[in-house]
Amino acid sequence: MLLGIHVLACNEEDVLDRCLRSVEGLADELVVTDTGSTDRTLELAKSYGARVVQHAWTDDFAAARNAGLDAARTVWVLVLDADEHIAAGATRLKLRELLRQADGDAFRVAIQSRYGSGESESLRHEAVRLFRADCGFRYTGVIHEQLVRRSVSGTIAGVDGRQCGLALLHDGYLPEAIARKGKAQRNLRLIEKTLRLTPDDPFHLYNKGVTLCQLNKPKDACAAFALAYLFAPSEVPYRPTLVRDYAKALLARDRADEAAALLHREVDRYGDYPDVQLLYGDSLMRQHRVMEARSAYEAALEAGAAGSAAARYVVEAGAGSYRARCGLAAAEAALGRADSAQRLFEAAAGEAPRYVDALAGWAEQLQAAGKSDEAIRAAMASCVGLEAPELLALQARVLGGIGAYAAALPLWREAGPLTPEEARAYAACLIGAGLVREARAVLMAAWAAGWSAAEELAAELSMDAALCSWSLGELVEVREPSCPWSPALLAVDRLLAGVEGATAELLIEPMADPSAAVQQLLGRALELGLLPLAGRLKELDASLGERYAYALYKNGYTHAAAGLLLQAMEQRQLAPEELCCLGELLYGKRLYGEALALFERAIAGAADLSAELAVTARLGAAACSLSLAMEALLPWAGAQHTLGGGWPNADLEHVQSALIRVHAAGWRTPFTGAQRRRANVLEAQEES
Amino acid sequence: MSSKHKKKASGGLISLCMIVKDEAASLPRCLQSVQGIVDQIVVVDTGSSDNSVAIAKRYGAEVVHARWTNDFAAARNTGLARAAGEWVLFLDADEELDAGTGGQLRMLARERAITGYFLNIWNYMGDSGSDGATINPVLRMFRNDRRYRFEGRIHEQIAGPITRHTPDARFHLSDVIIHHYGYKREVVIAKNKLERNRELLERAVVEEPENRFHWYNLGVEYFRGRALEDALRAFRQARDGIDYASISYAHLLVKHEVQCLQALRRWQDSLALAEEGLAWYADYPDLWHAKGIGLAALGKRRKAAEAFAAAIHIGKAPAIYHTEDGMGSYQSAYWLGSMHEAELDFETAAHWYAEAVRFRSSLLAPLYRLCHMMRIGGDEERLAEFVEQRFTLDSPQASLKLADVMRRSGCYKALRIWLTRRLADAEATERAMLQPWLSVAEDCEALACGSSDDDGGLSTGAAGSLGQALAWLGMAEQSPFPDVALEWLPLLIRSGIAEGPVRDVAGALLDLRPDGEGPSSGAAGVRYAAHALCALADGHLAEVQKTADYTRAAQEMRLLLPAQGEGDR
Repeated sequence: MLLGIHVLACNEEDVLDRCLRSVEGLADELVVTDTGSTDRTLELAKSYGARVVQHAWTDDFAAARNAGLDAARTVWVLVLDADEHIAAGATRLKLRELLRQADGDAFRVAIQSRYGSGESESLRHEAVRLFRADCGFRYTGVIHEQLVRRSVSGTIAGVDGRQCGLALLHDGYLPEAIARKGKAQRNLRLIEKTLRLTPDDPFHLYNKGVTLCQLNKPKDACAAFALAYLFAPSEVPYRPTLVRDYAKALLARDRADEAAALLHREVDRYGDYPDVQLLYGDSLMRQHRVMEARSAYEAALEAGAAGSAAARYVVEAGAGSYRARCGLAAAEAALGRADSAQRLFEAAAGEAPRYVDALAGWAEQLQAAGKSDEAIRAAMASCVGLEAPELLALQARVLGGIGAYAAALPLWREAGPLTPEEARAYAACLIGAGLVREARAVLMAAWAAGWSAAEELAAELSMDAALCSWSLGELVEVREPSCPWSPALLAVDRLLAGVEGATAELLIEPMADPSAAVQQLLGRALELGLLPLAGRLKELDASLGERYAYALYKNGYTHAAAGLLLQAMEQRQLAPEELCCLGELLYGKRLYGEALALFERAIAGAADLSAELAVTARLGAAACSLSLAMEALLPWAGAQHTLGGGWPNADLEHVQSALIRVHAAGWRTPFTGAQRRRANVLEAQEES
Repeated sequence: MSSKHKKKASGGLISLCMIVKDEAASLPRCLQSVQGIVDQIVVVDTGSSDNSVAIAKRYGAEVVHARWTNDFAAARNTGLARAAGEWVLFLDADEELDAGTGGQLRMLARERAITGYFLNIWNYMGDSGSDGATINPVLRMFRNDRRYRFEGRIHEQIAGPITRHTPDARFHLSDVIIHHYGYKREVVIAKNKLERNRELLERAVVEEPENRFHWYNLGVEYFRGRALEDALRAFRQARDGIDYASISYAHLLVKHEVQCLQALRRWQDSLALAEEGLAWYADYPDLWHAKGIGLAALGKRRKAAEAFAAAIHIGKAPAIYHTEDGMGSYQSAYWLGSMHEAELDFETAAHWYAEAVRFRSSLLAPLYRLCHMMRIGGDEERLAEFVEQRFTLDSPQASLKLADVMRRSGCYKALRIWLTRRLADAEATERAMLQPWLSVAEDCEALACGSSDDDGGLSTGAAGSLGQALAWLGMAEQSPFPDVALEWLPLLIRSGIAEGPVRDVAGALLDLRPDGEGPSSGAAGVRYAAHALCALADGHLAEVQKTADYTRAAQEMRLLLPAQGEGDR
């Protein structure tokens, strides 16, 4: 017999069927090694005609797998996990032919592992799974067992072979799969048992880190990875993946400095590994080193284009293409190169139409470049297509994000059944388009459908619905008395109704901070662009008045905010964050000297300046100084002067490149497309 | 003529010294113009085949015959040895003393306190004075002293030797004019030579299109004339089907083509070609260096660093190669340092900057980068220590130079630490020279952290321009800011002392325009005011640098700012 398929199983009734169905007609025998299933696993296996090998579980994966291999009656064996299955494809048909003529002893197969619901959330790698049954191939290692080959003389060697073109799909890394099976806990227990014997074993330490990541314990994972990294020799095959996973874990813990330092050491060694280059770019972006990040993303794209990575490394989908391209696009945008950013986002969207980062980035850039909403919608439609309902929702969401509400609405209406999150985005679009009543209906329906569901989501839906009602001049208690409104919403309802003697303190008791509740509503009203309602909410609590201008500014109402801030300046000391907003505005109008004075006041004014605000103010002040220097030097450029050193052109060049970096560090408020449209809205206009 | 003989007995007042070769056409005009003004004419003839000698003799010149040794200074000094007057005037044959102002020379020669006079040379575009001229002051008359002798084989000069022997020499700018008629011709000849070469080669490649040497030379001519696309085409033609192993100039051809591609900013192409060349000429440092430059331009700094390191590893090019100064030595080391600097690996960068200086001790650029970088790295103690360990300063002048670079780079603390240690075991001369710098360093350090006179932080009586700057601070609003103190403006702004007045000064300077009314120091004023703004930005960025997630980003921004003192070199 030519080919046998070997599956190790323990309580796999949920996935085994899919696995065995995918190999039907491919093999001459099916061998299922069972280590004590108590569910329908055995029944399923037998229904496919599998031979079942019973092997008592001894906390040793290699032993279990080898028990199956020992029972092989075929020339070749293909080893699968129950949570894997073979992808359909031409190679599958040619496999037997390939094996008949093969002169090698082992083949690699490609394995694609999904780790999230999105299409781009998958990893790819290759491993030897197909080999001759009688050539000494056996597994070793109680966990994360490795295939080795025992020669006649008894020496043990690693194995490798050609790619046979077979592709496996694996979904055991999906969070729900990990949670359901408790596999991660089981693995951790096994690894720790092994580590008690060999505490410095880098491979087990590495696997411990991986398992801790699956258990969502990034801190412990980092500690395990750190040790593994310390002990792992440079040539071991899992080292590149260790570097990748370690860096990822560090980034998850906001340790951009450590991640960047780690990758800085490794990027040359793994120049052909896109994931390492991509993560380096990400960590540099987190350090605000945009120019350097740019080079790293370019290196990731180069590694991706070379195309050799999949055979050697575990590669994330898009790491060497659309993910890196989006990173590069974001870097270019930060450096002020809008054209380039737009082209890159477009290319990334072309590569992965369902990757929302690419689509959203592209739409932002098109909008910033002055393209009409309709043109943006058409461009996206021709790139992504409109056939699937989830694609419609995706495009509608992206269009809503840039404030193209009218263009988004037809898509939302076509999109079919919406999730509660999507309903909320749809309603936001309706509100943006002025269809507040319709928005409320959508929100109420979604809320009603999910009353008992996720608490947080229900709170958000009811809040938006309440804002709609108030904006229409109606009260929720009057209109929808039977709904389970939160006490805070009811309190605000009463305040807006102008109930005699009602104050926020009185009504929102016993909440710790009554104005916080109103403030949250005010913030959301501004997000949704319900400016007149925001104006009314602000009147409910005296403490909100002072923060109103700042909230306006951060939601894109820059012109309106400026007016309020300039008024306030005459009556009181502006807060540092307000001074920074004003400084940013004046900077945009090229009034660098005046802006500098404001930033300096923000720095000098408050001793307890938050770190974030201090950075903003100082970068703002630096940008102002450098812009002033540029302005003074420019008239002298090109003229012949006797100061030497290429003056003033060399100085200009220096100042300009420093200025580009200051801007790239992102001290200015990053307005979205929707917010940019509000820049010139005046409060009075909106209310009229 | 009788007076002339009388004066000659006492040596006379002015001796004219000239060197000539085949100048019969212009010599009479020149010698005629000095009649009655000079007492002696010494003409050194370096082998004329026309009647220059006879003409000279007709004007009463003493003619000395000297063999031409490709050494202008030697020829001039032969004439000086014969000069008997109190003063030496020297002219070239295509020059003429102005009839209107030339007579002043005898009056000037009676001034006791003066060592030398600058005369105004009017360079005419044509052979008559009608086409306009450019005017330069040149030192042409000086006291006849046997210690004053010309130096320099090609561009001979006398000012240097005079000031060396007479440090308190006084020079005066006179109104006397020299007319110089050959100027345009000289410029044109140099230019024509290029054009002629190009034309000859263009003809040659038509006649012998297979001759790659012609193409190569044509490419070089185009490259010199900045006709880059033409140059590239010619180089390509020369390289078409070439056998790298057997053509002696092929390595140069590759290097020139790489440089040409880089001048065209075609970095990828330049790299590909450099790679191709290195397959044959792996021991050619110039090519490694060129590869490094291409990689650096593409932002691949680490790979660039490897290329520069390879160049340095080779060092001096093997004799079969034609090499450029600094390849594999100071230039490559400087570039290697900047690669590490940009990677924020300051320790390694410092090493290579020091190596660049070790290769060529007269370099200032690596010193400036070193100081700029270490200040931004925030470790001035380390800079002081590094400087002490890595630089052998074999003269007080060398120490002064280093002190000046540190001062201009704003490394006041490092300067103070280093000077304190250095003074401890310096010899008397050096100590005398360095001592004043210590108080400058201390004053600046105090200023930089914002303490003023009132805090007792500043020593009183600081000398020089710093003293003037500090004096102005004391009475800020009442007096105009002294021009000589402009270079201190960045430090003053940074100190925050007398903030209002100091900023007003800077603000006024920033408004200066090249064509507007304003002080003659306008350009310098704008420059220092702009540097003051950069210092302000640098101060803010230094604070940003303290926030962990911004540390490296802020360092990168600060490294890009113009280094203080840069460009004054």
